[in-house]
Amino acid sequence: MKRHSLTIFVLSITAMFFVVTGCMDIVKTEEDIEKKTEPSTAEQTAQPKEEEAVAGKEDAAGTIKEEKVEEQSIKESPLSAQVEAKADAMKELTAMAEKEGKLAAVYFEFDSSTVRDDMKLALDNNIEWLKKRQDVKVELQGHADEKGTNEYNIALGERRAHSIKRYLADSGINEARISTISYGEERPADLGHTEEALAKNRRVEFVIIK
Amino acid sequence: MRELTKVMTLLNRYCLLIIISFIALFPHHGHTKVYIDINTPAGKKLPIAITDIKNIGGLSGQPAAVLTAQADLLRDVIMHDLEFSGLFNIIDKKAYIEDKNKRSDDIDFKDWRVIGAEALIKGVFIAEEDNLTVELKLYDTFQTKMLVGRRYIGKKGNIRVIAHKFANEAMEAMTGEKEIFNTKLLFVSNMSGNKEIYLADYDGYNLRQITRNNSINLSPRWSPDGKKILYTSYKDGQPYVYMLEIATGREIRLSNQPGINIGARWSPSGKEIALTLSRDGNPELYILELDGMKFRRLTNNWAIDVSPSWSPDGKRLVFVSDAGGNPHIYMIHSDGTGLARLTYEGKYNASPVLSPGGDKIAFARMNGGRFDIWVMNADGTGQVQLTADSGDNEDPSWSPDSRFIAFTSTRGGGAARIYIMRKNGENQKLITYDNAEKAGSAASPAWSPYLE
Repeated sequence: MKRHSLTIFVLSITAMFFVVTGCMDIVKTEEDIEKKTEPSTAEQTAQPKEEEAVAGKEDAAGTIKEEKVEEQSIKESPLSAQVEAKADAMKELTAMAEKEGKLAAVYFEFDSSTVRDDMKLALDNNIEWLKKRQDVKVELQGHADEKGTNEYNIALGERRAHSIKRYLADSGINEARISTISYGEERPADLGHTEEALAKNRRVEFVIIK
Repeated sequence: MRELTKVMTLLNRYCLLIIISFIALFPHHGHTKVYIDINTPAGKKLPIAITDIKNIGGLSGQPAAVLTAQADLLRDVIMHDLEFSGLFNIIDKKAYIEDKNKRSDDIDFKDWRVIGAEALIKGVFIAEEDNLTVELKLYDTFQTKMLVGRRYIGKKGNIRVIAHKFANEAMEAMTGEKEIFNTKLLFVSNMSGNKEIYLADYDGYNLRQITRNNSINLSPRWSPDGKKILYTSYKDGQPYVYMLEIATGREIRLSNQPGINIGARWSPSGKEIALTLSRDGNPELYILELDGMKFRRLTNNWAIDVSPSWSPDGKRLVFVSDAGGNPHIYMIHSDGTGLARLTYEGKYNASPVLSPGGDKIAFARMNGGRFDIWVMNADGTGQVQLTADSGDNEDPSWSPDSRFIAFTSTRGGGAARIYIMRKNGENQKLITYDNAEKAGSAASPAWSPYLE
C-alpha cells in the first residue's frame, strides 16, 4: 500500500516536472514597469531665496557686535560683594537679552524638568523684568540635548517649558502672557557633542513676543 | 500568427489546469523545491553564477561604453541583492569557462556544474533610445531547467527597479519566501541644511527628497499599503502630524491639537493611528480613528508617554514611558487595558518596535552613556544586545520579513548614518546613498512594507 502510493507520487512529480518546465517555456512574463511603479515624489515649493540668506548673515554679524559691547560694559561695573556682582551681571545679561529679544535661558539636568536651585536667580530676574514690562508676552522654548530619541526629547522639552511656565505663574505672572513650544533636540544652542555642550542644550529660552 | 497565439493561450490554460489539479490531488507534495532554508543562516551557502547581461540589440547609435555600463549595473544590482541576503556564494566571473560568444540560451549545464555552480542567472537586453527590454532567467544547473524566466519592458531609468524585481523573483523561487529587494527606506536627513524627509531604495540608492519646507520634519512612517506616509513637522509652527500620499503629493494635516502632536504610527489595518498628544497638559498616547477623525485616549498618568508601535494583530502597542523614573518600555492593549512594564535594565530605553512577525521587539538602550540596539521577546524576556562600541545606535526599524533591522549609528565619530544588519546583529552594513557623501546626517529609518 505504502509502496503503491509512493509510485504514484514519483510518477506525478515526474509528470509535474514536464508540465511545469513546458509551461515555463510558453509563459513569458511581461511587466510594464514604466513610470507608474516609480511614484512621482512630492516635492513642494521653492528653494530658499538668496536674499534671505544674505539678510540672515548680516543679522548674525550685528548680534555678535552687540554682545562684545555689552561684555565690556560688564567689566566696567564695580564688583563689590560676590552675590551683588552676580545679581549685577544678571541684570546686565537681562538688559542684553532684552535687546536681542530674549531673557536669560534656564538650564536643566539630563532627562529632568525640575528647576535647579542655581537657576532661580536667573528666573527671578526674568520675572522681575516681566513684571515691569506688562506689555510684553513671552514664548518659553523648551529644548533637550541630543541624547535619546527625537520624540521623547520633544516631550521632555515641552515638560521643561511647562515647568518654567508654572514657576512664572506661581510668581504672579499672568498665564495669558506665556506661550510654550518644544523643539526637543532639534535646535541645539551648542553644536558640540561634549558634556559641556550637551548641558548648554538642556534649556528653556525666554523669547519676547509682542 | 494569430493561430499560434490562440494555441499558446490554450496551452497556458491547459498547463494551469493540470498544475491546479496536481496541487489539489497531492496537497503535501505540491510544494516546489526549497533550495535555501532562510531560517538556518549558518547553513551552507548556495553557489550561484551570474553571467554578464548580454546586449543583443546592437549599438542603436549609442556609445558602447553606455551599454556596457547598463549591463554592468543590471548584474551588479542583482549580485548585491543576493549577497545582501547572506544565503549565496557568488562564483567569481573569472572562473566561468563557458564560451562567451555562444547564444545566451544555448547552455551546456556541464560548464556550470564543473565550476560548482548549482544555480545560474543569465540575461540579455535591448536598449533603444530611452526604452529598455531585459530578459532574465534563473536555472537549476543540476536539474538543467529554468526556474524563473522574466522579460521586463521599461525605461533606461528603471534598471535598478528591474534588477531588484528579478532578484526578488529568483529568491522567492529558491527560498519559497517573499523577498525585500524592492522595499524602500524613509529617513530624515539635514543634507539640505534642514531636517527633511527622504526616500531611497532599501540599498540606499535612488534617493528622492519628499519634503522641502525648510522647517523641521521628523518621524516618517509608512502606511500599511506603502502608498502614504505620516510625519511630524514644524512647518506650521508647532509640531503637527501630516499625512502625505507619495504618488500624488496630496497632503492633509492630520493632527494639530494644542501642544505637541508627534510620533504617529499606522495600525496594521490602516484604520487607526497611534500618536502622542499633550492637549490635556501632559504627553499621553492617543489613538486617532481615521473614520470619523475621533481621538481616543490610551494612557493617563503624569509621565511622558511616547513612541507607540503596534503589534501585527493591532491588539497591543509597545511604547516608552518615564513613569518608573526614567524611560522604559511598556506594553498596553489598544483598548487601554493590560498595561505591563517590559524593561527594568538600563538608564534609558527607547523606540521599541515589534517585528512584523510579532514575536520580537527591537529597541535602543543607553548603558554607560551610549545607546545600542537590543532585541527581546514580545514579553520582555531574552534581551540581547546587537550593537556595541560603535557610537550611539538608535531608531531600529524591521524589514517586512522580520529578518533585518535598519538603524541609525554615529559610529566613526561623524554624523549619524543609516545601517542595516541581520536580526541577530551580524553583517552591520552602511547604507550609503548617492550624492550625499558631501555632508548631512541620515537618521530615523522607516523600512517600507512589501511594495508592488
